[in-house]
Amino acid sequence: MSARSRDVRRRLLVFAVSGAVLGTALLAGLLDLAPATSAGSDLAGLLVDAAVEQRSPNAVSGVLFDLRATDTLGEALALFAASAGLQLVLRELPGEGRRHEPRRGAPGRSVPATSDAVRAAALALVVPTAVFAVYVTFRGHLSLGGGLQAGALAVTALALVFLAGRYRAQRHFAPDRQLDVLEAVSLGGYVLVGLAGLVVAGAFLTNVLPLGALGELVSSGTILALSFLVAIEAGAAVLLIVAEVQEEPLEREEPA
Amino acid sequence: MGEGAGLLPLLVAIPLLGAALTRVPGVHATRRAPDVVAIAAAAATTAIGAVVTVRAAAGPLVHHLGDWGPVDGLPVGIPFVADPLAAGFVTLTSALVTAVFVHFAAAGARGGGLTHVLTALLLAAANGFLLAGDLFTMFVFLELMGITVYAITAGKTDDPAALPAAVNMAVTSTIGAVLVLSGVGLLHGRLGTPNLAAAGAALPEEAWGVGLALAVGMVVTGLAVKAGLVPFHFAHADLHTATTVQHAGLFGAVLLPLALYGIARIEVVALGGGDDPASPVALALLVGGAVTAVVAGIMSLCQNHLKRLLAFSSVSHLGIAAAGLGLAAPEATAAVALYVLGHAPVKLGLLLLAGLVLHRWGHLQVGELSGRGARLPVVVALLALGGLALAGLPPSGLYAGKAALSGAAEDAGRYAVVPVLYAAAVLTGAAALRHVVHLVTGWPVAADPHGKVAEDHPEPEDHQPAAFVWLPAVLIVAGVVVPLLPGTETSVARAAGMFHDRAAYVAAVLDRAPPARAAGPDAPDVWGASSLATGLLAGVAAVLGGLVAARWRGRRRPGRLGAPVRALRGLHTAHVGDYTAWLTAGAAVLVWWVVLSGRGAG
Repeated sequence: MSARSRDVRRRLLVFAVSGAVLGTALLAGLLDLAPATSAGSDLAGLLVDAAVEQRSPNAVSGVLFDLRATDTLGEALALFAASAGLQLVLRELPGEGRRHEPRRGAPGRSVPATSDAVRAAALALVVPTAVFAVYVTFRGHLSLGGGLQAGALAVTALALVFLAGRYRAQRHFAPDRQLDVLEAVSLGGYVLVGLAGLVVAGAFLTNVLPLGALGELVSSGTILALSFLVAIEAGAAVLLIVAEVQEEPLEREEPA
Repeated sequence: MGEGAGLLPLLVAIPLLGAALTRVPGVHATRRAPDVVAIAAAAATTAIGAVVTVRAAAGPLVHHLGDWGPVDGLPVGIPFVADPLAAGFVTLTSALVTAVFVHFAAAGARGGGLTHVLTALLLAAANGFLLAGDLFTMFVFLELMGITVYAITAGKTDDPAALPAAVNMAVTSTIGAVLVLSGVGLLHGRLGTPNLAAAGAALPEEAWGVGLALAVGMVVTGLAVKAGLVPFHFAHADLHTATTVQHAGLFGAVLLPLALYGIARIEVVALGGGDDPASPVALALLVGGAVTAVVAGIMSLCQNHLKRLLAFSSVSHLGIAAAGLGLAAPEATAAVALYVLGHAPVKLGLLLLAGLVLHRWGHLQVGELSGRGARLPVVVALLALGGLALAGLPPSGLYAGKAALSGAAEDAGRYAVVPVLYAAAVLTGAAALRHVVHLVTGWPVAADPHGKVAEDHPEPEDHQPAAFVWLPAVLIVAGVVVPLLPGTETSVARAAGMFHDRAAYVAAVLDRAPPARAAGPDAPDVWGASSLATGLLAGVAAVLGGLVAARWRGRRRPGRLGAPVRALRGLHTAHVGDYTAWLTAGAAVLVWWVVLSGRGAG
C-alpha cells in the first residue's frame, strides 16, 4: 500500500470516528432543545413593536437597519473585505502582462457560440431585472425587500448583459474605478450616518432622520438610507468580485 | 452609562473611515497617502482607547448602539461595553497596528493601499469583538477578522506557501465559525436573546440540560478553534509562517489571545463560571492550555525556520494564557493580562526582526544564516533579548506574568500547572536562543526533511530603513520593561477584578441598580526572592537549552530525534484533510466534555 493511500485511510478513520461521536452529541442536544421556542417571548413582542415604531412595517428591515444596524454594518464589511481581498490576490504583479480581453478558451480550442435563444432571453430580462432591483431597494422598509437583496439583483442585471455576450458593454456599465469609489462612498456613508446619530442623539447609528408616515415611500428615517447604502455596497462589491474573476486569464502571460 | 461611553463607537468607526478613505482611487494611487491615512487612523484609535481605559476604571462604560437601551430590563439592541480589561486590550491592539502601519511606511506594503484597507478592517473588527456585549455581534466581527486574515495571507502572491496556508486556514476557521454560529443560534433559540448579560440572567444556574450544554460546548469549541488550542493549531502554525512578518506578529500577539478573551468573557458573564475552577469550560481551558503550551513548545524547538519557530512559540504562549484563565480566579486573570501585555510587543518585535533578516539575506532557514551574526550585531542582540524575554527572565512582562500565574496556581491548589508553565517558556526561549547560537558560532545545521517550508526569496538588499531596527527594538524593550512601570500591577489587578464582577456588568448593561463594588484581587507580588530566583533559573535553562540544542541537534540527523517528537512532527502535514480530521476529533472531545460535565447533566 502506498504512503498516500495510507494517509487517506488514517485521515478517514480519524474523521469517521470523531465525526460519529460529535454527531451523537449534536443529536442528543438538538432532541433536548426541540420544544424550545423564543417566538412568543416578551422580547420578541418588544422587538416587533420597536421595529414598527420606526415607521417600518417590515419588522425584518427594522431589526436589520435600526435595532441591529451594527451587525448589518459588519456584514456589509465582510463583502467589502472580500472584494478588497480578491483584488489583492488577483492584482497584476510587476512584469505580468494582463489581457484586456477575456481569453477565448484554452489554446487550440474555440469557444462554443452562445445560442441566440440565450442571448435573446438574457437581453429581454436585463431591463426588468434592473427595474426590479430599484423597486426592491425602495421597498425594504415597506414590505419584502432590502439592501442586500437589491444589490444582488443589480449584479444579476449586469450578469445578464454579460450572458447576452456583451462583455465590453458590461465593463462599460461597471468600470472598476467607479466601483471602488462606490464601495468607499457607501461604506463611508454608512459610518457617517452612524456618526450623525452619535452627534445628534448621542448614540452611534441612532435613527435621527424624520420617520414620516407609516407606509409612505419616504419614511422610516435612516432605515431607508442605510438600506440604500447597503444596496450600493453589496452590488458594487459582488460586481467587483465578478469582474476580477472574469478578467483573470486562465494562464498568465510569461513575465517578459 | 458612564462618562465617555460615547467614545466607544469611535474605536470601530475611525479605522473604518480610514479603510474607506484609503479605497478612494485618488488616495490609493498616491504613494504616501495610504500610509498617512492608516497611521493617523490607528494612532487616533489608540489615543481614544487609552482615554476609554482610564474612564472605565470607575465602572463599565456602556454604549447602547442606535440608542436602543433595555426596555423593562430586556435588551432590545446591541450594547458596546468597555471595562478596563476590554478597553486596555483595544488600546494594545490599536497600538500594535499603529506600529505595523509605521513599518509598512518604511517597508512598502503589498498591493497599493489594499493591505492597508484590510489591516484597518482587521483593527475595526478586533475592537468591535472586544467591545460587543452580544454573542451575535461578537460572531460578526470575529468572521470579519477571519476574512481579512485569509485575504492578507493569500495576497502574498510571490510565496507559493501562502495560498495553501490561507485556504487551509479558511477551511478550518470556517468550521470553527459554523460551530460558534450554531451554538449562538441554539442559545438564542432557548434563551430568547443573544445579549451576553441577559443570557447570563436567563441561564438557569441549577440545570443546563444536554441541549444548553451542547450550545455552550459549540460556542467554546468554535472559539478554541479560532484561538488555536491543540489540536486546532495546525492551520494557525502554517498561516503564521506563510503570512507577512507584520501580520504574523499581529496574529500571534493579539488575535490568538483575543479569541481566548471571548471564551473568558462568555464564561464569566453568560455562564457565571468565572470564579468556579470546577466549571467544565475552566477545566477544558486548563488542560487544553497546558497541553498546547508543551506540545507547541516542543514543536518550536524543532524548527529550523525563524518564522515557523515564532509561529509555534505564539501557540505555546497562548496555551500558557489559556491555562491561566482555566484557573478561574481574578488573580489568575490579572496574571494572564500581565502576561499578554508583556508577550504582545515582544512577539511583534521578534517577527519584525525576522523581516529584517529576510530583507538583508533573503533567508530565514537557520542553516543558511549560520555564522552570519557578526554582520548584524544589533539583530543578534535583539533576538537574544527577545529569546530571554520569552523564557521569562526578569524583569520582562512574561516573567512577571508567569510569577503571578504560578502564585495564582498555588493559591488554587493546582501545583501541577507551575512546572508546565516554566517548561513551556524555557522551550520557546531555548528555540529562539538556539538560532542566536547558530548565528554567532556558525555551527552547522543538519539537513532536515521535516523542516522544509517554502520561502520567499526577495533580492537581499543592503539599503535598510532605520525603522527596521528601531521599531523592533522599541517593541522588545517595551515588553521587557512593562512590569517596571509604576502602577502596572495595580491597574492590571483592578481591571481583572472588574472583569470578574459579573453583577456590575449585568447591572450596567440592563440598566439595573449598580450593586456594591466587589473587591478586586490584590496586586500580584512578582518581585519576591523565590520568584526572581525561578525566573533567573528559567533564563539560564533557556540559554543552556539553546546551546545544547544547537550543538547536539545541529549535528545529528533528524532521524535521531525521539520517536514521539518524530511522530508529533509527522502530524503537521499541511494537508487540509488531516487538519479537519484532527479538528473534528478535538471538537468531539471538547463538546462531549462540556455536555457530560455541564451542570444538570449529571
